[in-house]
Amino acid sequence: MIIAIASGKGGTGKTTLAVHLAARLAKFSDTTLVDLDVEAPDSDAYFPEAQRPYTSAAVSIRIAEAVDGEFADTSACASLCRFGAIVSIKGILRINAGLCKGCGRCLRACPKGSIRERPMVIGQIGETRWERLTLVRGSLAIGDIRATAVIDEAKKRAASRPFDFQIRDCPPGATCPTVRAAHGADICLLVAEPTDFSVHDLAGALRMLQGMGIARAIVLNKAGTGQADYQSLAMRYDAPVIAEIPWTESLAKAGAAGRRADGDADLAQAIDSIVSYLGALS
Amino acid sequence: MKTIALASGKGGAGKTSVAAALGAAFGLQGINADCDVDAANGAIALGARIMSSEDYWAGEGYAINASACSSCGACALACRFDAIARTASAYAIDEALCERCGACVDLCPSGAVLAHDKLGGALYVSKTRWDSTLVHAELVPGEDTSGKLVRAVRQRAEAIAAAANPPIEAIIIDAPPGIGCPVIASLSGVDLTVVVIEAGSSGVRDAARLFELLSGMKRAAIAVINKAGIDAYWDAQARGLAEAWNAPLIAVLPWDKRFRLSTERGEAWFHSPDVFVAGQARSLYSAVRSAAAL
Repeated sequence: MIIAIASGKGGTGKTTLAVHLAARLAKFSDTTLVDLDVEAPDSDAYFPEAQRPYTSAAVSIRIAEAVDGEFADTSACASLCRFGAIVSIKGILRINAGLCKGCGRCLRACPKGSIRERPMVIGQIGETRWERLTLVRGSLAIGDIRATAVIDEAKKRAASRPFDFQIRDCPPGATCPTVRAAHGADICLLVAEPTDFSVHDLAGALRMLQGMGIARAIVLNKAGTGQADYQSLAMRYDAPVIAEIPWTESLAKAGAAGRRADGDADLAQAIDSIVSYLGALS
Repeated sequence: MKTIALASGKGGAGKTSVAAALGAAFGLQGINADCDVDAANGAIALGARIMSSEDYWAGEGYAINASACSSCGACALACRFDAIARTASAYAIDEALCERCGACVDLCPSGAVLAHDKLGGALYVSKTRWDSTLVHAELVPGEDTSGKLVRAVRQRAEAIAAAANPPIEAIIIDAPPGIGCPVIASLSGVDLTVVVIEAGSSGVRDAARLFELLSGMKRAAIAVINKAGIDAYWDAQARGLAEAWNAPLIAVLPWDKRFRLSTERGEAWFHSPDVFVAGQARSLYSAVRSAAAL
């Protein structure tokens, strides 16, 4: 079973939920936790027990380059590039390696063979294990914009490991990187706070999931810190509220320290509810 | 006029609240530009009344006309993103995987792949509770090209600033979390970035990546530590991070529910009757002014 964890708003507790759910499931089943928040991957900090260092492999894509560094504009390729990676300056074409997504469209269109491809590293995939838990982490190279390609690669790595449960820690937002991260999941758990900001962004995430046809449920985090109405959204988007995690000082301290709080009674109770909900689905 | 951005790496660090406080403090001499188009909360924080809106066109999307498709599979072979797969009757594009490169259009021998303009969202110009201008946007959930929409928001804010009388002193940009495409679009060319470091393990790690990005982009940064006082070790790490990147630390805001309550009441901190919250907003404002040489 593949469980995506998303939120819309950042900082609502996606990673907190992902690491505790993964730690719990790994007690009795083969579990993979894959960190797809490739711009801010933080889940590894919560598993100091896991073997260090992570094995690491570069993520590279094939990008276009001019055979001779630059070439004359014959209008065959520049107008085709949807990413603005090929610019014509005074009749001379240049390819911007940072913008090329490696689709190969220009290469196929060039009648003169002026374009070839070379690999470019855009991120890293890390992996380690701890008992029945496999940890996979995608990480985007700083300054790069191709997050979705790193997410794809981390998903492939995670899929190649046998699992009963795969937990995906997704990026915030409700657009391309989040869509890519959630794609293929059996269910997406949305972590929301009872605040106006969070509920507004929850609506966007629910619409995204509805459009993708992915089953969804809401986990309320930091319960008691606001009165915003998330229940109406839960009804409208067919997303049951399956657990509530209260805001407590001890959970806030654990969160700040980047430490798991497996023994916390409030959190354990919420994780129990989620596990039994998932169990009933499968 | 100066362009001042709020960024953090980690989500939920307090960017939107600080951006709203600065916008409220600049008053009619400031314009807020909410560039977190994935999760736009500036309108809630500042109480926007929408004055004008326009459609935002995201660029081309692609679809396969099943009745023209000969099921030859050339498109699926051309697609490097595994976004095209065979269905019962024809090939079809999975929008969630499509990168919108259009390679399939070129290679279809039957002309069955059609490009169409995609509505990506909407761009709004609004008045805040204090009658200053907020430029914001909403992406259609699941849509692409947020970097392009970020640029559209910034360009609109700049155009309004250029025509404003009295003159605008600052455009306040609320950047998205992360370090990727929409963040780079939000921070490119800004005069000053205020890095909001959440005082915790994830907050410090994510801010470290942001500082590295800013250094590569050669952008000046100052730091605000938020939600301090929960864990002394991470408070110190947050300070150390700002120091290591030579980012002057202009404020350390404690974790205190008075900030959240003020945000919920729509006061943008600066207009709070709570003297503590309003005082913090005032001192943030004056420190940002002086760092931006205003």
